[in-house]
Amino acid sequence: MREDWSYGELANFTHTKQVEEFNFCLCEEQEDFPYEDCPREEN
Amino acid sequence: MLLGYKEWIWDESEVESHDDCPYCEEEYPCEYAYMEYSDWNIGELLPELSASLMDLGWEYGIATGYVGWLNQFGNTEVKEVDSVFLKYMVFDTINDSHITAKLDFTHVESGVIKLRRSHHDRPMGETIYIFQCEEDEVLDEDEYYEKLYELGLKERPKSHTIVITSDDTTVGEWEVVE
Repeated sequence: MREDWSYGELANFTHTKQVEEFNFCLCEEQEDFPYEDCPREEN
Repeated sequence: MLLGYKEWIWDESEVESHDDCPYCEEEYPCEYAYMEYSDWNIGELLPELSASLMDLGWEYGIATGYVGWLNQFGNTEVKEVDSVFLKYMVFDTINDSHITAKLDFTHVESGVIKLRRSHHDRPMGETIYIFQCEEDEVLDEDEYYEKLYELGLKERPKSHTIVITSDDTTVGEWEVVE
């Protein structure tokens, strides 16, 4: 797994890219949604 | 190895206070301690190492890598590999006075010096390779990768070709690169 991400690359991350690279996203708990394209489950 | 050094490191957290210095405090080295560190590393060791590089046949080099805020590919022109160039590559190509850096000479006899450094845009580090080259050499991105593959510094991506057939007739090929 690549570890030397630049801040510019991280700033351009999306939910899709986050999951592709790290296999998780903080939106899993449906409390924080760090990216605009994070999926939101409807209650 | 080069003067017995496998690597040259710049890390100001290594600077220690001197017990007999009236200006140093226990946990806080004074400015003279930092100057001494700089004088030794940049003023003495780097010129000696670059002189040894000359003895190994390193006259010209080209530095290249993926660097900076957006991790973009970049390279220098062909330069004489002297202490001025090494210092330039370590310190002067980024606008930051707080960096850590390491020049790795492990592959120096294969024609590569690896510079690993971290700074405010790349706290987790970035890698620059300085390739030994001829005076008129030009290196593009493809050649950069090829050199790294040849020297075993980067693994060549595996590729597979998927052949699409219909009634035993090839109708297409699809190359997948891992």
